[in-house]
Amino acid sequence: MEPVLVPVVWSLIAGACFTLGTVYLIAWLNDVGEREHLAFLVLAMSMGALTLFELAIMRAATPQQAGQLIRWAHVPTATAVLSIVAFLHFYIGSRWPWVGVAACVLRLAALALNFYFEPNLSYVALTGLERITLFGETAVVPVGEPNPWMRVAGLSTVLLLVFAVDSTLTGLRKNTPVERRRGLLIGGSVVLLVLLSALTSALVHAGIIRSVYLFAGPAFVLVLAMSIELGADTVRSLHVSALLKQSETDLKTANEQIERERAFLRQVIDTMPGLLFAKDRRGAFTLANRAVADLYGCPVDQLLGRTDADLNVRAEEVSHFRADDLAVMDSREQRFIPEEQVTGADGRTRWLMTMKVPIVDSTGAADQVLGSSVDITARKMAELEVEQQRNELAHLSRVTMLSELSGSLTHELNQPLTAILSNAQAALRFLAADEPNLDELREILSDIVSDDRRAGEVIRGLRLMLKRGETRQEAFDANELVRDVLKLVRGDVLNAGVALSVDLAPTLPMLSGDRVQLQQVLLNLIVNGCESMSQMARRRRRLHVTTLLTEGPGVRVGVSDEGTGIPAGDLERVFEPFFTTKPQGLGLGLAVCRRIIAAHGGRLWADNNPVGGATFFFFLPDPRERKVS
Amino acid sequence: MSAAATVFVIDDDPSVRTALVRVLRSAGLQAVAYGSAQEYIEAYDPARRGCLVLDVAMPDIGGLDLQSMLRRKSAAPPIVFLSGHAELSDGIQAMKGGAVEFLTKPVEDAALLVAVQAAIEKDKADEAAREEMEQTRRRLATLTPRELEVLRHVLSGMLNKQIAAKLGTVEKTIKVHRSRVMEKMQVSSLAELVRMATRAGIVAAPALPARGVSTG
Repeated sequence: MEPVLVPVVWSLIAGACFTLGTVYLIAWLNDVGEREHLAFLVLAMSMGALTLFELAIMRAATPQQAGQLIRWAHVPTATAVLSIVAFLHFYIGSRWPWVGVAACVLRLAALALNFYFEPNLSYVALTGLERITLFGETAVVPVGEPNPWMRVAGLSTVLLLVFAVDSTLTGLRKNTPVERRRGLLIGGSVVLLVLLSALTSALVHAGIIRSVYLFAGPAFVLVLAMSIELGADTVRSLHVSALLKQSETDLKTANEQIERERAFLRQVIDTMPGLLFAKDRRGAFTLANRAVADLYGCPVDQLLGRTDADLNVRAEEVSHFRADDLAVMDSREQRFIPEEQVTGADGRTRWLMTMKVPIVDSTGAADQVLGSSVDITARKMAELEVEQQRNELAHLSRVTMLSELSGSLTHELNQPLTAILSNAQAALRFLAADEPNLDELREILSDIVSDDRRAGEVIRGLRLMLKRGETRQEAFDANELVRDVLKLVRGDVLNAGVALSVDLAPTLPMLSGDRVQLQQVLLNLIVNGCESMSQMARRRRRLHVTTLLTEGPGVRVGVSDEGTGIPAGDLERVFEPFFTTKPQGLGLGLAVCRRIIAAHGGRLWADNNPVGGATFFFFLPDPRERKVS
Repeated sequence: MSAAATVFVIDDDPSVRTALVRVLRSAGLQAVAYGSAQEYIEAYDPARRGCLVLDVAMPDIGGLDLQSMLRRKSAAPPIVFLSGHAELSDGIQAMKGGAVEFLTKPVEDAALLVAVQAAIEKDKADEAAREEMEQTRRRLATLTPRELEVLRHVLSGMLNKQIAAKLGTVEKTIKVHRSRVMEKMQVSSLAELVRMATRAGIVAAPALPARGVSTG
């Protein structure tokens, strides 16, 4: 019966081997660095070739033909051994590479001997062809005398087996499951193949069994195992590449998203009407929105890296900004600046309300400050206008008070002045007489002296005149009084560049008196305090207002400045009428204040602070206690 | 002859009034000082001629009050006002009330003396006028009713003939009456008689001719 199955199966196996080999050839050409791909493709090609040689031997017509075929079949056998060694070495690894090298050397030696001997290494001589039945079909196997040098090839096979076992064990000792599986599958397959091949070829060779070598089967199994393993790698790499591609897409999407968000944020900070900026320790802008750019007349990108000093002509403003920025970074505490001035590129000065916040990094250090400012110029202008009106009103009321005062002042002063003038003129007339009456003249002069004294007393008694005004008695809280006055003078104090602090006692008894007058006293003390510091650096102008429950019993209100203080000799004199250190002052303020406080049964006095500056105190008694005592 | 004029200084401030008195005395004037309007009223003697130097602002009775009180009296002395502050309304009121001058304190001696001098002159003139009227009245009192009637007709400008016709008598009789009147009134001419009568305020000049015309 003409063989059909065997040629077909053998051809299919060879075809499969070549196909796999081609696939890996392409894979290897794509990436020449993948040495296991090269080894595998050589192995697959060798196995395909070997399978075809085997098929050809089975169909050999003469012993000579079979001998020639066997001789050439040694070539793919050798390449197969070489490729197996290389594959195991590169793909799995081994502890004893020299064993593999020895196997290769011996196999190459065997190949050399193969071409030395006639007809080949396997047989010394072929005597004939024997027909056998294979899978129910006829095939031929050569019959001849085995070549003793074939043992060289046998030894190579043994070494290959040892190398394969070692490589398998190496693979099984690896850490990852993938590597262990690889060791088992590939190494095991190679061991199995080599064992089977060695066994069958030894048996066939020895003539114990009459069969073909049947290389095709194990070879196919090996190639299949390897291709499965490599295929799994390919699948993995495909998966990885898909993941990569996905992540690339994701990255691109993410980038677009980030870009959109960045653009949106930029738009937000540029759209916001207030100023938004960040600065580093050098004072250089690290962030600025369009409002800042517009203010300084400089595009945002050119603003970055520059400092306020580069952009603002007003040195005092720049130094304020700088001091605040550094204070915020050093303290790592936010700072609220209710009012500050900034001069823009157009030379206009604006009022800002600013919040500065430290930007704290992961180490806890703050090397940047974030600021946000609102332009309050319009509000400030309105305030200043109200302020000015109030000042004018206050001035007017002072003028009114003075003119009221001057009514009684002229009356009281006019009398002595009239007497003095008339007396003096009378005296002159008497002197013009022939015999002036000296007694009369003496009398006149002494009257002039006493009238002059009287005029002086009138002036000194001015404060007493103020007492004549009607006073209204009402109950009030000293803390409330302080708060009311502070509300009134807030603008004044701010404009004077004075930092005001308040320390109020938690609970105070209700006092009784004329609120308006007492407010006037406190206002006077605060304004005086501010004026006393007007020549000092703005930073050092500080005013402190306190209320305290004291023995007396009553309430003591204190207004402390940090100015130059009062010369010790003047501590009492400052309360005298017409005592003034101010060029435009009348010197009546404190005298009037003292009169008012005294009218309330209290006391007004001044003291120098131990640390500098002066404090004006006034004490008002608790009316309940006064009734009891 | 009346005694020398006295200047009455009224001011609540003792040193002021003393000084003012001294100024006046230094000019040779006689001056008396009072501490209040009340004091002056109590010591008031119409026979003592002179003028007032009066402070506007005084407690109780002020200067302007005293002025209006004095105006009701027959022989009010002229007033020179002194004021601490020159209130225009006070000045107007004072001048309307017949004040000679309204001065502000402190006052210059020259200004004060000029004003006081003027006031004394005015007082003298007033006194003379009062005196003359008194004399005229006394002389008029000596006239008989018939003589008085003739006088009124004469003053109204009627001729003796007309008067005689009016009174139903002869011109000669009228002539006698007329010369008696001239004699009693101690005048030598008709013009003098008219002037005296006018000063004394007894001429009801428009009434007489009117009556004459209606009857004539």
